[in-house]
Amino acid sequence: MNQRILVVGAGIVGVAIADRLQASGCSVTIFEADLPGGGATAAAMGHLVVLDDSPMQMAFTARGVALWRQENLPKGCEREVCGTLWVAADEEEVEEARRKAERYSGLGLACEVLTAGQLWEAEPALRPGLAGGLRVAGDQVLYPMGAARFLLKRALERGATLCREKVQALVPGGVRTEPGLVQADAVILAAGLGTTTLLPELPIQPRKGHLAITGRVPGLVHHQLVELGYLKSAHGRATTSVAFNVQPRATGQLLIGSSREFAGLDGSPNRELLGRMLRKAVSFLPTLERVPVLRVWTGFRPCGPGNLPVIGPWPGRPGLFVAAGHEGLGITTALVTAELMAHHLLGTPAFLDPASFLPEPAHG
Amino acid sequence: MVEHVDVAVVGGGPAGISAAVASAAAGKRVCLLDEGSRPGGQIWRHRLGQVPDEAQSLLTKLDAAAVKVLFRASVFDVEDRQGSWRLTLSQGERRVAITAEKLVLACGARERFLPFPGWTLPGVMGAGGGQAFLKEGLELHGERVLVAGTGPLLLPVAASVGKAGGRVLAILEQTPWRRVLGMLPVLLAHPSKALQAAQLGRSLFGVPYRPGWWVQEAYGKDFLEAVRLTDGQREEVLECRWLFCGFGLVPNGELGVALGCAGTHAGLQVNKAQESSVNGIFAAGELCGVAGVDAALAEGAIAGLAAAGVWDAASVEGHRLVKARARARSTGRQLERIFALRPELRGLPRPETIICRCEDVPYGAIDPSWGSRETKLCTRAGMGPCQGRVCGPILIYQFGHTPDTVRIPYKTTPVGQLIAEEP
Repeated sequence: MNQRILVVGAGIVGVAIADRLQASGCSVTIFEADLPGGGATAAAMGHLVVLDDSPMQMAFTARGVALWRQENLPKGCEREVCGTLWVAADEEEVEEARRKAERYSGLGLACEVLTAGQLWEAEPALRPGLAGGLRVAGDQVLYPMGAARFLLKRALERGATLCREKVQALVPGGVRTEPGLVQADAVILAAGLGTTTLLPELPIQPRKGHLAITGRVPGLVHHQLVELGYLKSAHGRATTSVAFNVQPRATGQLLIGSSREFAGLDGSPNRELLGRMLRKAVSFLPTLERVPVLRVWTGFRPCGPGNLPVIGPWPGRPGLFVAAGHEGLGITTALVTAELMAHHLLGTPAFLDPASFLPEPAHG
Repeated sequence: MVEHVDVAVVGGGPAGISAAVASAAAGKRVCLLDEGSRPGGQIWRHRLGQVPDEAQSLLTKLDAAAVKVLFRASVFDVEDRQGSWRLTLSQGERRVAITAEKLVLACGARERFLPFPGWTLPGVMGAGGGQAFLKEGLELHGERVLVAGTGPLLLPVAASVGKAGGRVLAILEQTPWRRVLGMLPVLLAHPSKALQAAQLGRSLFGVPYRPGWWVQEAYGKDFLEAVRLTDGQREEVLECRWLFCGFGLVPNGELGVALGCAGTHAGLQVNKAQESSVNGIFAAGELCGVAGVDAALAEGAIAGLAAAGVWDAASVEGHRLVKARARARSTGRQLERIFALRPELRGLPRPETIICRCEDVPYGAIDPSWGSRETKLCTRAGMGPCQGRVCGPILIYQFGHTPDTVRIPYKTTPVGQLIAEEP
């Protein structure tokens, strides 16, 4: 069965789906009018991280990281298996680290709880007085644009095609572009923030973030460092928040994050929030104070209605599938999203319960 | 404490000093910010106590004027605060914030580099950068030096090499003879320039001036050893220790672009009062298009008067300035035509030739079909400490790119200064 599939959007999620389906014998066309990977993918940090906000989110991200591990990525993807070090500021957070360790171990993920002394040994640049931490060894970092281009290139080598026309509308059995209608067996909408334009019933909100990149300071930081308070920041949905989140890049540079706010599509830096974000980073890593910042940018996470992205057939529109609303987890979960999509289209095994991701159109 | 002024001038070269002096003379509180350690910008760079004559009268006026001057000041952020501008700058270890009603941008120009095999070897320097080194006291002890590239700047650079004890083997000017001859009417129209040229000519007596020749490749193991040159037909190899190579100047328009001022990589757009497309931001001198010191002086004065709200084109002084500006701009356009870069220079880099020095990006890594953003995201070109100040103009020249967005901090700034609160 040689299904003809249209994938709308060449961000990391779209190209991962296209690559997966083309590899399984489908005939895929990817639609992308802008630069492939040029949206949320290009702005992202590229932290492949297992998060444990809910059991399904944990299974989803763990499967995502495991699939990336199986990939033999070229140098341009700048993949480093540096692990994540969750930093505990006080005894309460050490308790949380212990509970977290149980959950990670339960999924068979290598992790260890660190005492204050071990934390200092692992990351001597952290400020004194921290209480401990949790090291999750298998987490990775990569260069999102490099990874997206790698997947796109592989999909094209496998026979997929890239169409630079803008998709104007979804129509029964296909899409409408400027030159005309394109028919297919299935249309997969993976357009990130652009999803809502084509499918207004699925509201995807831009959740703005700031990142700063430093000059080269090799060896200053060894793991991706995240404060244990991170999840509070990431999931307090209404509020504007910052969290300590610093990533060592293969180049010796540091990426400093993170911030979250709903501020429409205004990409100009919010100096007040940027200041809070950087102050938070310095409070954990005092030596950062003297490290030069080369550039600050903002990006928009595609934030869907629930805590998990929406992946699967869209109700009432035969042949239409969506993969949207990954928020800050699009890079981590691109490959597992493709695996779930393949399950829906081809009946291949899904390692997670697909029902948890099924779309529910918003009412009213 | 955040200081408030009427006019903040960014850049302390001829345009910026003119603007500051003019605004101050109109009774405004003025602050002049410059990255250097003394006023004068790139052109009036001088050893302490050796101020060029033509700069002296303006510098004296600056000393006498009620202008607050901050040296070693790098403006790394500018915010629009509804009707005023807030500038944040780094001055050594200090962070300073200033608010200003009006802004005059006089950020000048920088050297244009073009890549050829070997251009990153030690011993190969920008002509302007090399001259700056010589003025700071670099001694050449009879070493063999080649000066190459394009434009009138090559002559004073060669003269400085001679003064520093170097032996100038030749001056290679990529523009052909027939176009160099186009300089004659320019010189005849500007007796002071003709006099300068004659003086330079005397100090360069015996140095071969070779229009129509350019450098193809620089060789050397750890340091420059030889240069291969061509006129498109013949080739020669010259042994030398230093190559000072300059391909003209490009405007430092980044701050203006970041603030939303209309313009291109060739310069910001301004109206007759030197005001940019953004209300309250004025621009003067090289960043409006490279045209030299005379344009900078006239435009700086106009911008300073306009920012102070007292610009009157119909006044005697206004009339003089408008005339001076028109004349200087016309000369600038003539020089631009005469020293336009020849297309052969585009063919010099080989796949392994570095294009972005900060990130070590070779020419061959860049797909000619890519745009500027794609090139940056795929190769990191322009993502290093200089943020594309060097490779940006190269990419524009080689691939026809449009300049990429400019982001804060406008100058590399330590985290500590980005987050400091004003006392």
